[in-house]
Amino acid sequence: MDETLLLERCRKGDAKAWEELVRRYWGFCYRLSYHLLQSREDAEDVAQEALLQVYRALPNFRGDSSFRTWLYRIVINCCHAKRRKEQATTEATEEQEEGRSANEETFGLEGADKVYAIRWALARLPDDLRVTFLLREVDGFTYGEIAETLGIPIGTVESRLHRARKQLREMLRGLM
Amino acid sequence: MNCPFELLISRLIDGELTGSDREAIVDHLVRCACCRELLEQFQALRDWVKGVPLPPPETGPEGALLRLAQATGLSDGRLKRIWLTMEKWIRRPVNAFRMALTAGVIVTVVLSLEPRLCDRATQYLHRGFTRFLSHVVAESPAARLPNGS
Repeated sequence: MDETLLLERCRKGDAKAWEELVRRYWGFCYRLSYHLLQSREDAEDVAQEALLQVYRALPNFRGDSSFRTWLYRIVINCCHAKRRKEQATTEATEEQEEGRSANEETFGLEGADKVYAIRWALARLPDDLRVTFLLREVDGFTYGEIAETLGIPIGTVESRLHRARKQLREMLRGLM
Repeated sequence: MNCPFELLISRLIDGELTGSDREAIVDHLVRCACCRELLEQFQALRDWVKGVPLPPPETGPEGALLRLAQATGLSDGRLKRIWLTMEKWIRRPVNAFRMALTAGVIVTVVLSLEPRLCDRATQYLHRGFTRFLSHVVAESPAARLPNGS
């Protein structure tokens, strides 16, 4: 079904249309959330929360941007909210960060499983670089779509992508 | 390496370069081995990241549909069926555990209050079982046969 028609039916409260919308976009939400939060449970929770927010906010969606960029913005905001909530409830964050820095210096990639190494490197990218990189490489967003989703200029998208790639290359030099 | 063309390499592999910029970087790549290496590494990164599998979700889209149905009341027959199935999976073991726990608590409390009850209960059970067995034996076809036949 065409996306515009699907959204129109969803606005009217058509349950079948909602089911199709959820099935169509759930995977995107889960993937992005997982890469940002590095936890299956959190990613599933955020994917559900994001789709619930879409339900509540859809009447206000005017279509100025594409539905996909709007949805991704919601997912990214939900991920930030989830992380803030967790940081507020755990006091161990600083210790985790310290441990992470120490690991960066001592972790050897030789002999490591490639998938594990890539996950490890992605998890250590700063959030802004990681989300820009993932939107481009995993979801195939254009620079314009990334700029719209993140609310940043295209020049910033370009420089973030380049920095992300260079940092990943540096972290994964053992595999190159 | 800080080649002035570096930034264009990202744009090139992302398909965001056109016209003279594209021609300039393509010409540069022929001459610059460092930039060629960088291009190859960026392309390898792309392939690797795309190949990273995600852990399989526990509930998937069904979980999202259920949450939507619960939070908003949005539901058709199919959603209701999904909900009822999931609810059954959750409700059955929870109810069984609750009943077992209640029975265990009652028995423990009663036996701890009156230890002799425990012995008496065992005696009753033993007596009842013996009576039941003798009844079964008495009613069996072999027992009804006349003596000597």
